[in-house]
Amino acid sequence: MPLWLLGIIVVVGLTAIWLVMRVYGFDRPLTLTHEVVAQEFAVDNPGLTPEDIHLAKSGQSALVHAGGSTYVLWVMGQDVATHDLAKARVSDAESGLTLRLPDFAAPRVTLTLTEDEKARWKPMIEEAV
Amino acid sequence: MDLSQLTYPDVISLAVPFFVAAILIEVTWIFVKHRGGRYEARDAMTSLAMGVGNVASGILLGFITFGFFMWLWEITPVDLGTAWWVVALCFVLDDLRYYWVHRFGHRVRWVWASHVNHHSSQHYNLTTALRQTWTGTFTFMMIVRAPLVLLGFHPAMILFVGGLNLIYQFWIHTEAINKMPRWFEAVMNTPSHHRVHHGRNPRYLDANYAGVFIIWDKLFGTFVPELEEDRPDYGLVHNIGTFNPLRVAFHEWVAIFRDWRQPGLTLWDRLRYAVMPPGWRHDGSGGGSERLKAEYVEAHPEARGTPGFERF
Repeated sequence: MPLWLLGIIVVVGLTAIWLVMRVYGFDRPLTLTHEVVAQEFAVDNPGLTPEDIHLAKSGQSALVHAGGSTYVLWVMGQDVATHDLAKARVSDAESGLTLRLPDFAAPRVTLTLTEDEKARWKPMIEEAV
Repeated sequence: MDLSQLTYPDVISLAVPFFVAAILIEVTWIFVKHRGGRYEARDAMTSLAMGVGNVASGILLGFITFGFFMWLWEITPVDLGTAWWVVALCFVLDDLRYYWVHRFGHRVRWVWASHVNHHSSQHYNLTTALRQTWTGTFTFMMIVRAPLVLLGFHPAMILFVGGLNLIYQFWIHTEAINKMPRWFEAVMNTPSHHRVHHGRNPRYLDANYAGVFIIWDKLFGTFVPELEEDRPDYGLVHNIGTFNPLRVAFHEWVAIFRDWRQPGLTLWDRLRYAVMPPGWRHDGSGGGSERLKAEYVEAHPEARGTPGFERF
């Protein structure tokens, strides 16, 4: 198959798939609950049990204390990712806080937080770092 | 026979329209039926971008592998020709080759660095099949195919059957099909068997490496059946936090180089960071699949001796 034809099929095909997923609502993010955070955290961090969970009002992120460390958990589409806060850098963002993590596979997370949450979470994160 | 001009169709390229159509059918099926799997737009687009990148890397770097094979073809005195049974035999032997390369891909971190991206989705649908490596050439796993060329299978034939193997594996990346007929499940790799391979449940780690024929796993002791009571949870033991295809493609390579840069390591340690199984740490703090399985069995003694935990 000529490369130009393959290119057209790929571009048209991927656009069609993306549009169909949008139409079907498969781009809606997961909304976290305490139960979801506890379960997903434990699965993503074998051997650790959440001791304390701070869930953001947005339902898009949480701080989790477990095993003497603090972790951030955030929504990735319909799933989640988690990371310990060791060596993280925190800064203010328009919608809340931005975390820069020393991990090529999870370099940066923006947490959507209310002003109250931002005021409470920032010291917790700085303490964990 | 002069096989210097032997060519076969580029079956992967020819299959692209089928891939697109099948994905559209699967995503619509899931939307209509509210079962049979999950789709998430950014995850799926990342998988598709990885697939495009895989084809591009093949175009850019494929000459290395093909050049290596053609060099072997020049020096081998054996030529099995192009009869249909030679192609069929080549397909079966190349599937055996796939089993071992795939097993190395999970047990040797240098090879895992290339393969990890295929497991980095938390979803299991037809787009996951296309979440393929960009860096396969750098694993040097083409060496495992060398015996096929030296045995007299033409390089073009080997790449042709390898393409058919990958196309076979496309349709098994789905939750829309539960089980195939028993005779089929016994011999062939199926959606059920391959869901196990993508599961991060301790029971399912390092299992079902087969490409087309599941018999290799049964033969070499890596087969684990899918259990109703332990549904596969897809993704990596610790999932990545990005949809960026560049980061998906290269994150484990970066991790290896970061491990190498740690101060105070011996050369032996540095080598082992590349060749030991994923999770290995020089100070013993790592948690490979054996440790995860052992810890699971310790916490769930009733699982001892059940599929996936026979040795624990």
